[in-house]
Amino acid sequence: MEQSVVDVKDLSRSFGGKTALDGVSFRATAGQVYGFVGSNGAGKTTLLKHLLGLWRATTGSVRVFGLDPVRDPVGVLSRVGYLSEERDLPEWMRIDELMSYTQAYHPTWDASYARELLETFALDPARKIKDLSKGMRAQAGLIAAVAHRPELLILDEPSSGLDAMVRRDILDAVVRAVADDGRTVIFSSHLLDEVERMSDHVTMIQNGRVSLSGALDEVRRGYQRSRVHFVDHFDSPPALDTALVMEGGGRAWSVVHSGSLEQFRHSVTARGGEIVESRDATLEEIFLARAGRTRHQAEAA
Amino acid sequence: MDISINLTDGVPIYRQIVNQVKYLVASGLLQPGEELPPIRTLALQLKVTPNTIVKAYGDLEIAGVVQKRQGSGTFVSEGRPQQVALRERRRVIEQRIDALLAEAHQLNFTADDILRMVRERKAEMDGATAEPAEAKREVKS
Amino acid sequence: MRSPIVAMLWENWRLTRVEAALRFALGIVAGSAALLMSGAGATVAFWILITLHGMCVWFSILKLNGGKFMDGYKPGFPFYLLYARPVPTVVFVGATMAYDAISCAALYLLSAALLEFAFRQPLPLFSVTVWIAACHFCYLCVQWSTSNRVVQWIGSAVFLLPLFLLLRNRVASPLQVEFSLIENALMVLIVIVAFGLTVAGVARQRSGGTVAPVHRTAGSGGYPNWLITLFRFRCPTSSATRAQVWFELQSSGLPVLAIGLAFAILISLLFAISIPVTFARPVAQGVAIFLAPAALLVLCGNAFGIRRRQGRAYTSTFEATQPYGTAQMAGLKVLVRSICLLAAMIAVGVSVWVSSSFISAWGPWLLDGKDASQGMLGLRHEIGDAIGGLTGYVHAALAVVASVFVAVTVASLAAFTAIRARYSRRVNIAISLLLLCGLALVLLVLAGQSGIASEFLVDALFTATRWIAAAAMVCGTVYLAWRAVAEQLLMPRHVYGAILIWAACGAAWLTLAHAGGLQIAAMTAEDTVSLLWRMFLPLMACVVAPWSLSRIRHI
Repeated sequence: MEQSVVDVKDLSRSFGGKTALDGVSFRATAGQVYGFVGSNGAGKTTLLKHLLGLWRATTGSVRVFGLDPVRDPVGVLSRVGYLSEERDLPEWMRIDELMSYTQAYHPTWDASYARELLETFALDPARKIKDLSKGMRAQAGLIAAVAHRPELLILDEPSSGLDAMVRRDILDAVVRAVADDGRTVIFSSHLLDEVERMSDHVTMIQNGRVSLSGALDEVRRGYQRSRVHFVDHFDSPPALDTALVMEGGGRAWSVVHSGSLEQFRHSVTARGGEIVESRDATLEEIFLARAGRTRHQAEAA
Repeated sequence: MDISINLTDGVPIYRQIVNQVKYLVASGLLQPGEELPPIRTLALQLKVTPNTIVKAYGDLEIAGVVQKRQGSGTFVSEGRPQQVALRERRRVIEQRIDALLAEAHQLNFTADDILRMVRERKAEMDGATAEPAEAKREVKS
Repeated sequence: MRSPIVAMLWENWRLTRVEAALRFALGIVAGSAALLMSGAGATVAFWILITLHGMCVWFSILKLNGGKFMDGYKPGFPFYLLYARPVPTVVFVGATMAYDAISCAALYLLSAALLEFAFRQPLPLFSVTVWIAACHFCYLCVQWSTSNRVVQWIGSAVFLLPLFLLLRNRVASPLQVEFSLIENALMVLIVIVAFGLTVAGVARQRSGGTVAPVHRTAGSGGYPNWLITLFRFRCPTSSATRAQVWFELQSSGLPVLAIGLAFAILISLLFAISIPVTFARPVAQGVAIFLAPAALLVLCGNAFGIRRRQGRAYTSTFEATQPYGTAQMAGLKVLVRSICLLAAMIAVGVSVWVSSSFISAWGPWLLDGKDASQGMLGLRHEIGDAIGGLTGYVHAALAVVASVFVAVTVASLAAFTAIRARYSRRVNIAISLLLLCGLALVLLVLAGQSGIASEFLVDALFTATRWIAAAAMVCGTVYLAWRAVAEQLLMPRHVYGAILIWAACGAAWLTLAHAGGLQIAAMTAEDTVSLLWRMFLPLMACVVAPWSLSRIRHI
C-alpha cells in the first residue's frame, strides 16, 4: 500500500459546547483530487485547518506526509500550498513582495510559472493587496499557493464569492497541478457541480461526521433517480423502500433512492406503479437528499 | 475535438467522454490513426480532473477504439473501424428506440402501432420530397 | 418586553462590568498605595482616580468598533446595529452617553469616598462630578459623531485640553477642587452642546451619510497602512530568515522606529519653540516626560501581531502557515521589535538631551513659585556627571543590561498578549485574584501602620509572598520548558542560545554591581539570590515567549 499523503484517524474537536468534528477519519493518496462537501458549519474548514496545524488535534491523530503538522510545521508546510477561505493576506504587501516573500520560504519556487500566472490573471505586481478586489485577492493567493509546485494543495472554498472567470482560473490551476506532477489536491466547496467535475474522491461531512466517502463514480452509483408513475392518485408521497426524497404529485413522482434497484422496483410495483426512467443521481441530488433527510430527522426529534 | 459534458443527466463524466469519442469515430469525424488530444489539454478544456480523462482513455483502449503509443500519445486504432462504427451506430439508434418505446407505453400505444406509425411517417416524408422534385421538373421543362 | 432604554442600559452593563470591576480594584489599590507613601499622597491618589474614572471612557464599548488602543479605536458610533431598530437616535445616543458619564462618575465617587473613609484624608467628591460628566460627553462626542480621524484629533485638542488645564488650575494645595458657578454652568453648557453634536453626527451616520466602518480581514499588526508604506525596501529571496526579518521590519519594526523618530523631532521642535513661546513649555515638558515614554511603552506591546475583531483575538493565518519554526519566529519577532524600539529610545533620548540644552536659553521660568528650568538643568548635569564618571566596561555592561531589559519587556508583553488572547477567561480570573492579593497586602500594611498587627508579622508575610511568587515563577518556567521540549518546540540549539544570553546577562550585572561598590568575595546570600533572579528573568522570557506563540499558532 502506498504511503498516504494525508492520514486523519478518529479526529474529534469541539468549541465551547458545540461539536465541530466527531470521529472523522480520512485518507488521501498521491495524485488524486479530493473534494469535501457539506453545508456551512459542517466542519470542512475545521478539518482542513487541522491538516495545516492551525488547530491542534486534541483527540485522534493527523499526519501529513507522515509528519505531525503541529510538531513539525516546517516539514509539512514547506510541501503544502494553501488558499484560505478568507484570503488572509497582509494588506500592506504588494503583489511582487508577496511573490518574493513566498519564494524565500520555498526553494522549489518556479519563477517562470509565477510570471506566467501573473500575466494570465492580468495582475499588476505593484498593486497593494488592500487595493485588490476579492477575485484578485483569490488569484494572488492562488499564485502564492501553486507557484512553488507543492506536493499537496489545500483549497478552502476556492470559488466562494468569485465570478466565473476567476473560478475558471482556479480550476485550471488545480487541473494543472494534478496533471503535471501527480500532485494531490484537497478542496472544499459548496458548489456541487464544481466538486463533481473536479474530484476523484468525494467526502460529505454533516454535523461533524463523515456521512459519505469514496470514489465519485462509486458514490454516484449508490444512488439513483427514477421517474415513477402510479395508477392511484397520492396526495402525499407514498412510502417506498430505500427512497430518500420524493418530488412531484398525484400520479407522477420523481424519486431519489439508494441501494438496490430491484428492491426499489419491487416496492414500486407493490404500490401499483412502474418505473419509467432511471439514472444515476447527480452529486447535488445526493447531497440534497441526505441533507434534507437529516434536517427532517432533526425536526422530527 | 468537440466534446461537451453535461452534469445534469446523471451519466458519469468519463462515460460521456467515452461515448462521444466512440460517436466521433463512428461518424468519421475522427479518422483512424488520428491523435486524440493529450490528457492535460483535454482536462483543461473540459475543466475536469485529469484522472477522469485517464479513465476514459483507458476504457476506450480496452474497447479497442484507441491505442496508446509509448511516449507519443493516444491514437485512434487502425484496425477494424467498420465493426466499431457499426456497433456504435447501433448503440445510438437503440437508445432512441428504447426511449420511444417507453414513451409509447406511457401514451398507450403498442409496438405494432409504433411500427405502423413509423412507416406512415416515412411515406409522408418521401412524398413531401417527391412533390417538390416533380414541381422542379415541371418548372424546368 | 423591556423598553429599549432599559435593554440598552442592560447591554452596556453587560459589556462593561468586567472592566468596571478591574478599574475599581485598580483605583483602590493604586490609590491606597499612593496614600500610604507620602504626604502628597492625597494629590497623587486624586490624579490616579481622575485618570482612571474621570478621563477614560469605557474601552469595552469603544472596542466594539474595532481598531487598536494605540489608534484610539475606530471612530464612529459603535452600536451601529441599532440603526435598523425603531428607536429614535436621541434615545439610544442619550442612553449610552448618560450611562457612560454616570457610571464613571459613580465609580469615582465610590472609590474616593472609600479611600477617604479608610485613610481619613479628604478627597474632592461632588465638586468634580460635573467636570467628569463634561469630559466624558466631550470625548464621546469627538469619538462618535465623526468617522474622520483627523477631525477626531483636532476635536480632542479643542475640547479636552482646555478642560484638563482647567482642572489642573483648580486643584488647590491642601487638596480641594472648587469650580465657580460660572465654570459649572459653562461645563453644563458643554455637556449639552456635545450631546447635540453627537446626536447630529450619529443621525448622519444612521442615514448613511458616512461610509460604514469596513472590517478588513487582515490588518497590519495595528499600524496604519500609510505608516508602513513610508519606508519600503525589497524583500530578500535568498533565505526564509531574511524574508521573515524583512516582514517584521516592514510590518512593525520600521513603524515603531518612525514613531520614535517623530517623537524625537517633535520634542526638539517643541523645546526650540518654547524659547520664545512660554505657553508651549509645559506642553514640551509633558511630551518629553510623559507622552514619549508612555508611547514607547505602548510600542513594546504585542510583538506577535495579535489582532482583535468583533471581540475575538486571532493571529494571522498567513503567518501561521509559513514553513518556519515557532521558536525561531518568536525569537525573530521579539528581536526585531526590541532592536527597533532601542533605536527609537536612543533617538528620543538624544533628542531630549539636545533639547535640554535649549532650556538654558529659556531663562528663568516660574512654575509654582519655583524656577523649573533650573531644576531641569540641574537634573541634566547630574545625569551627565554620573554617566561620564563610569569606565568603558561599565558603559558596555549598562548597554547590555538595557538591551536585555527591553527585549525581556517586549517578550513578556507579547507572551502576555498571546496568553490572554488564547486563555482569556483564565487570565481574567488570574488578574482578578492578583488584584485581590494586592488589596489584601495594602490592607495588611494599613493594619501594620495602625498597630493592629505586629510589624514582624507584616514583614514575615511580605517576605513569604515574595518567596512564593518567585518560586511559582521558577516552577512555572521549568514546567513550560519541559513541555516545550517534549513538543519539540525548543530544540537543543535554542537551549545553547539561552545559556549564552544568561551568561552575558550575568556578566553584565556583575560588572554593574561591582561598579556600584559590591565585592564579589563579600556577596551575601541575599545578593546572590537577587543576582540569580535578575539572570533568571531573561531565561523565563526565552521559554514563555515561544510557548505562548505556539499556543496561539496551533490552537
